[in-house]
Amino acid sequence: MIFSGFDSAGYPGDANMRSIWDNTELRWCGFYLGPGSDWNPHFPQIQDIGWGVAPIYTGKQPGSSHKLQAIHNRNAADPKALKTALWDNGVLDGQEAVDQARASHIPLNTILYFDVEDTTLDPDWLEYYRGWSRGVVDRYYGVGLYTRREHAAWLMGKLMGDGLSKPFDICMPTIWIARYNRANANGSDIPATDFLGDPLPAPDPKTVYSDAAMWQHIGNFGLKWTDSAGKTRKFAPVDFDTSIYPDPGTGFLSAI
Amino acid sequence: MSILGGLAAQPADSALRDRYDGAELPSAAASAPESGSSTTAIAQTLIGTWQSEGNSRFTRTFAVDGSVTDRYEGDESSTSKAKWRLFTAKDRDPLLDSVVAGVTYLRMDNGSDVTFYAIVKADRRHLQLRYADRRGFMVRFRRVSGP
Repeated sequence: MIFSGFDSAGYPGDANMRSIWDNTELRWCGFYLGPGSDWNPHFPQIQDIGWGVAPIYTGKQPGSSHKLQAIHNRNAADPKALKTALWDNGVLDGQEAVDQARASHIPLNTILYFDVEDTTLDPDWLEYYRGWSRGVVDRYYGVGLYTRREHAAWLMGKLMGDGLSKPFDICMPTIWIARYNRANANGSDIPATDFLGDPLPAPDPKTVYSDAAMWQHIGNFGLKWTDSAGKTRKFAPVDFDTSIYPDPGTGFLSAI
Repeated sequence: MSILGGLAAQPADSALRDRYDGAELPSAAASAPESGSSTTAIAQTLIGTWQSEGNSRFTRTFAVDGSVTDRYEGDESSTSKAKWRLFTAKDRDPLLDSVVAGVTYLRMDNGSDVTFYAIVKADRRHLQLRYADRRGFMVRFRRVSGP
């Protein structure tokens, strides 16, 4: 069974979250963690309604992090020290992710999804991400990765390959793939035809990634639904997602 | 040349900017369109090798034959190749239902993923690309060679 969801940088508001839940087939949502996110205070309300929640952590990005570059430059002469320093920095950010989840009252064992927006194949970031995973798991949360297909395939290959530091310390993430069948560019007008309602489209089988549990496959569209009073309501922009789990935050436990 | 105009700012606050650590979210001050910025001229400007300002070991090379190669110094397995082309609202890509008028977009297709960027700035020394989907992440490069 496939469960529909959505994610949006901006929180739709408590009334919309209730109305969408009551009147559409959407069953889970992305939830941006951290003090800069307007999703941050709303986890208890969302959970009370019944939504599955995929918490999203915004961390250092592959290929473009000045801090990871600084760590590299300080340790460039010693590859082992470099990997250790990158790992340790990741652990700190993993602990921060858990602190953010706790601040939002997100329970233990929930999977936290690291949001990769810049999908450069960056080996330094790999060590950082592995440390991040350890920092999260050691505090009794689970790890996920929200990225594009090529980047996910590269990372999974690295995790299962040779040459890793701490080769027996591997946390395999739950994968959430961003690969669009349809999209609108950021900042563009959303055509009226791109406000979707039930039934929402399923991912194109040609675009799915076999190791993934979730897919973001329609980007920057709108959501249209008829509320309980018979009035048409809209919210945009949203990305449409699907998952094999009714609640991607609890993963397979939610499917039992 | 500065290229990106009329593009609404995406949600961006100082906390998120800090989290992304140096690689910028879109800014409302992302520059105005410059008259005469043809797609052909921008394509010619892109040809060559660009080094990430956020990570000097990452380079992106645009070739005349329509190929683009991402390399990561010290790790051959992180090399990624794709095909690139530019387009605008006049000849938009079928994967994007709607684009912003006046903005030139870069399409990179590696056979596994198609990635779209809005070109924010492209001149002899600097290249700024903004992912056209998801949260609109911005990446910056400086030229190291060509054309």
